Amino acid sequence: MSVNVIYSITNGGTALSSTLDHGSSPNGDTTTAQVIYLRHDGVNEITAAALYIQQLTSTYSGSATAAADISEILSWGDASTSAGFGGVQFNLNATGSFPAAAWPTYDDKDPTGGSTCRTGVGDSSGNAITVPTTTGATAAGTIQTGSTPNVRFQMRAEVPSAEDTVGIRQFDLALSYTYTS
Amino acid sequence: MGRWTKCYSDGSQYVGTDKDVSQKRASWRKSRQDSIVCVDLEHDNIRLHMTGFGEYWQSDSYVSTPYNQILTHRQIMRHITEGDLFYQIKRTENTCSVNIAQFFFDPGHELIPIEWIGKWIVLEYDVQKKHINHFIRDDKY
Repeated sequence: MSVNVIYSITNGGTALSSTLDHGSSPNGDTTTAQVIYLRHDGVNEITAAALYIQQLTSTYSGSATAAADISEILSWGDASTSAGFGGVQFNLNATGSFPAAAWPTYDDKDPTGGSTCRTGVGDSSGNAITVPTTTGATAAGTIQTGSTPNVRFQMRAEVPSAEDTVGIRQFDLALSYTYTS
Repeated sequence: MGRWTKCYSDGSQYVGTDKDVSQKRASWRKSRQDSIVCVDLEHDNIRLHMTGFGEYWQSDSYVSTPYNQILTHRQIMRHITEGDLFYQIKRTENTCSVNIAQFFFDPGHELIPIEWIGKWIVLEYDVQKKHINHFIRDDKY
């Protein structure tokens, strides 16, 4: 590969190379928001960078199946009732210090600077969420070169208040992007 | 593995093999951008080919997770300008070629739609699905 993306939980920190535990949450609540930093080893910027989630591609160690988990997580985002709403959420307003208003809610699944992963939004590379400049990117979808570009976002999971199955859910966080040598 | 090749109007070429690019010994951006008359991209047994004097670009698309990264698409593209008049797309099972003509008309060429002007014509190989696409895009990648 002519370029490799590196995920970390500190700016320029040790690369994540396995599962990141988001912790647990009771019904109707969220996990603690986790800051994720993105950088790459290319000599030029990467472009068209966009986030989404997908079915876990590594060894599954959750409570059901990888396919069932991603389906359930997306259905939480799709929910048409507040009791059913939840799922994986992004706060992409790092330059605004991750304001509470950028976290999605049932009433606003895509507030300014935030998104809920659901059918058609952040559920595939074709529906990926462009990395905005509020993450520290130099332009929408553009992650600059350097070992500490300070491009970062927060993510968390919200467990629906109506959820009745306790267990571990797993999914992949993915970044689609383009590179020119 | 593959390579891209820039062909210039003076008959010279610049080749970026995947190995040279990954080892930073070749660069699309840092190599000569003017007077390009054709661009080739080869990947395994697939060949994408574009001809016609103009501005070109090459890019590769990836999907990355924290523990894995895959190459998904390889693209070559050419900027369509007001001076471009005709185009022709030829496909076989493993190749796709686009010719953009400015000064002549060959049978088999079609008139470039005016809505293409200022956009990019893209030839793309989907590495995972192993098929070739061509389309018009507002901007280069």
